[in-house]
Amino acid sequence: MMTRRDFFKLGGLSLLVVATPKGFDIVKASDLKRHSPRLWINLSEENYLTVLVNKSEMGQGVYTGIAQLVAEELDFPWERVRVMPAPAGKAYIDPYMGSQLTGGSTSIRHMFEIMRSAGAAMREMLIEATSRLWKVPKNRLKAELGYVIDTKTGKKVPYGKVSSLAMKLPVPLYPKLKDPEEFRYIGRSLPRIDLDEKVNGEARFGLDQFFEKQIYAVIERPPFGGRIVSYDPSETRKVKGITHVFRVGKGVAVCGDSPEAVLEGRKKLKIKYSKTSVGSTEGLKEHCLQLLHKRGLVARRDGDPREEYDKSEKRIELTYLLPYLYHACMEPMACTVKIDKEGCTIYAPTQSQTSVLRHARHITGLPESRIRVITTYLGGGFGRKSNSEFVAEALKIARKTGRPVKLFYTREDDIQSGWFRPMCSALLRGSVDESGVPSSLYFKIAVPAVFEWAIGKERRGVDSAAVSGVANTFYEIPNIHVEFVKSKVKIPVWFWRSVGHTHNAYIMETFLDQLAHLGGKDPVDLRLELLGMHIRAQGVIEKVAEASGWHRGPKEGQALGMAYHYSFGTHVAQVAEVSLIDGKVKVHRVVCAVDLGPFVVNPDLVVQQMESGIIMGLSAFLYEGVKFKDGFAVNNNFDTYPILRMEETPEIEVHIVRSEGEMGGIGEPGLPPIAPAMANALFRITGKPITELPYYGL
Amino acid sequence: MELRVNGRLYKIEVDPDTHLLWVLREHLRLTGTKFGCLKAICGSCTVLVEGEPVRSCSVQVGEVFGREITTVEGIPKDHPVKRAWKEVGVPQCGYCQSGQIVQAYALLSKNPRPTREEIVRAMKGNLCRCGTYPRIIRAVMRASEMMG
Ligand code: FES
Ligand code: FES
Repeated sequence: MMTRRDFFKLGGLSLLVVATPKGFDIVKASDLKRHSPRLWINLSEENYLTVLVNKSEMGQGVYTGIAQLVAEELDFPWERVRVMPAPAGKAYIDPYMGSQLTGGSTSIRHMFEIMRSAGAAMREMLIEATSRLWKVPKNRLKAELGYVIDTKTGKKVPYGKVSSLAMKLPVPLYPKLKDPEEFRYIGRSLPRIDLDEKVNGEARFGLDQFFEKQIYAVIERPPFGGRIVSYDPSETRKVKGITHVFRVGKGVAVCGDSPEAVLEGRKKLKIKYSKTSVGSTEGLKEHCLQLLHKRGLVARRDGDPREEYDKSEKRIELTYLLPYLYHACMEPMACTVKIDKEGCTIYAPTQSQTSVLRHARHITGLPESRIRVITTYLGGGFGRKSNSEFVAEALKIARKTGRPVKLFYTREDDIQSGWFRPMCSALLRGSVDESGVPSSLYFKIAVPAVFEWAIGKERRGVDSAAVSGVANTFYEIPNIHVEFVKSKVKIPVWFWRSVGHTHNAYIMETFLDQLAHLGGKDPVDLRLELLGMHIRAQGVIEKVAEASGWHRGPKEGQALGMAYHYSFGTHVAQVAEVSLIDGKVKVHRVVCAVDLGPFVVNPDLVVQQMESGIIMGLSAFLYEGVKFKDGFAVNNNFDTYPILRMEETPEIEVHIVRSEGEMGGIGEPGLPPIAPAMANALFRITGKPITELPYYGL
Repeated sequence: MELRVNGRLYKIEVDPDTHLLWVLREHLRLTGTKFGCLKAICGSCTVLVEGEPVRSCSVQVGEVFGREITTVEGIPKDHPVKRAWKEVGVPQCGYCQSGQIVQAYALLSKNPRPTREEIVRAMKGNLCRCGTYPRIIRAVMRASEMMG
């Protein structure tokens, strides 16, 4: 990867994107008054394209996808494309979000037109420059794979050679984008641009930076819902290499000149904790179920589900209870920061540059111009790394000690820092009519308000995450009631890959199979029937049914389960082929059909994200759930919080279904359907609905 | 004290009970080696000692003085394992991949023609939260083919 300094040295043609109230504009770097870091793409005289990506690479392949968009419209050789992370700053916000954030499976959707337009503008400017240089009409010239070519004489010049000339021209107001038939990169599985770094151990993550006089730090944390009353650092201070011990945030920081020293020193802390309001798993479960007796806020009401339910002969009621889930990024929270006379430098694997900047301004008192944020690669994000508390802690430590700091969480710290997918309970009631079609659905969920935690203050109204995927379900059921009861448990919760869709898809899709069973309907046929005019939804269901051999039925000794869910603009249906031997679940194969609309920038990356979501969702279904005792997470490493391993990973087959219509995201939507597909298959084996997760118990 | 890593000799001054992981990463700045658990349960920190995969988070450097250590940086860039990893497109976030690649390299050095079961047996201690497992299996098979 290039460094920022290299970038500024580049000559040639540099364009940048400016967020405007209407969306965005593309302008030349030289149009800005002073030398500004607001360069988004540069074409150097040596004919290299550099793209500054304002989105974080956490495994989803966004560096590759965004670079593809620019290279496409510029029509540029892929081997000469490089990327680097954009700095943090207003200039790099996602205009559709108003902040610099990677989340909600939006990156390609939001940047699709912007980055293509930037590439297209560049291409038009290069043609214009060449036309002036050679004094030939523009329409005789074409720009192709890094060369401007005179179609009459065959004469050609590398883009780079005319880039400085192009820099003197105005930026076209409405650069013409290619027709999809002309695409050479969009729709092609180009190899990821980060492959070399990632196979050679060269990719830099949060802790891979070094500063003179740096110290290391770890933080001991209080129980959830409690605090540290007092601590005695005297034994810690005796450990060789310990430099500082002090309170930071809710915890106690132990600093020293090696990782081993701080880990050793931390063990010697004597801490008194307060009582906790959170308590233990059993109490949390009970409390969560109790909340279902409270009256909540109604998010949707069609018809009269109660009356319909009461008068129906075929009806069912189930109560669900789903646990706290931990992100378990393979890279625990870690960052490297330095504050000195010049300013502040932050190397952070963050999904939210905007919140990192906000913390930095607040803690250091420096203006934004003196805060430099370098987004490293993220060793997994899954939503967790959009919470920048860890950077704030590191900055506080750096300020207090006056030393550059490498803060790292151990796995145990990472879990005890919280920010989980919330525990939730739900009460479901449903009925089917004489023809076996669902006639009513009552859905009441008790769950913390994730968006309240995200913005850090109480909010009125229905939390949209709590009812996502249900309040806006595509299933056409005449009587629907959706209700939200807010849980106020003091365990911090946050966005966990696909957020509310994780629990809601599970609840809806398993309950729907119960209704299908009750009405004597085939789960696939019933869904197709309930989806009326939703052809994209039906498309993925039909595809997955066909590809999995749904209507042929399962192989001997196996069962098939299916689920469909729409999230983040994308439709996904999955079928799991499952068997159960001596209480042990075996998933043989998962077939997945996904429809993300007309443009699939990089099909292999889509497949990768489907595989990733399926494996993570399967892991959660079988094993995952944080357990608590006296406010502490007790299953706090991979021995007690297992995640799926290779030997349990099924064969995965992904089919991409193309359709017209809105473009969808890809990082999250692969996850929600797998857990209900699993449960629906297992129901066919055991006849028992699975209403509590994880499958193997907490 | 002398440590032999990737064919180079390093003179270092550390307590012999320091874990190899930290010596590699923080002293020698070979940051390709990662950690995910610090308890020998995730495999992110895997390196080779005399060709044997070990969890560097749980090996004290004193135990390996004078022995040949190989990290991900020491596996040639054109080695079939790395080539296959790229061809199949294994990495996502990449964080676990150094450990995966080192573990796979060790497997193939001993068993150039592993079956699917043998691959899974050798690799199952290496966790990957991004779910690259199906591709790891494919890449090990591909590397095996490339090795002829
Ligand atoms: S860090 Fe060594 S095995 Fe996990
Ligand atoms: S690639 Fe991300 S943990 Fe394996």
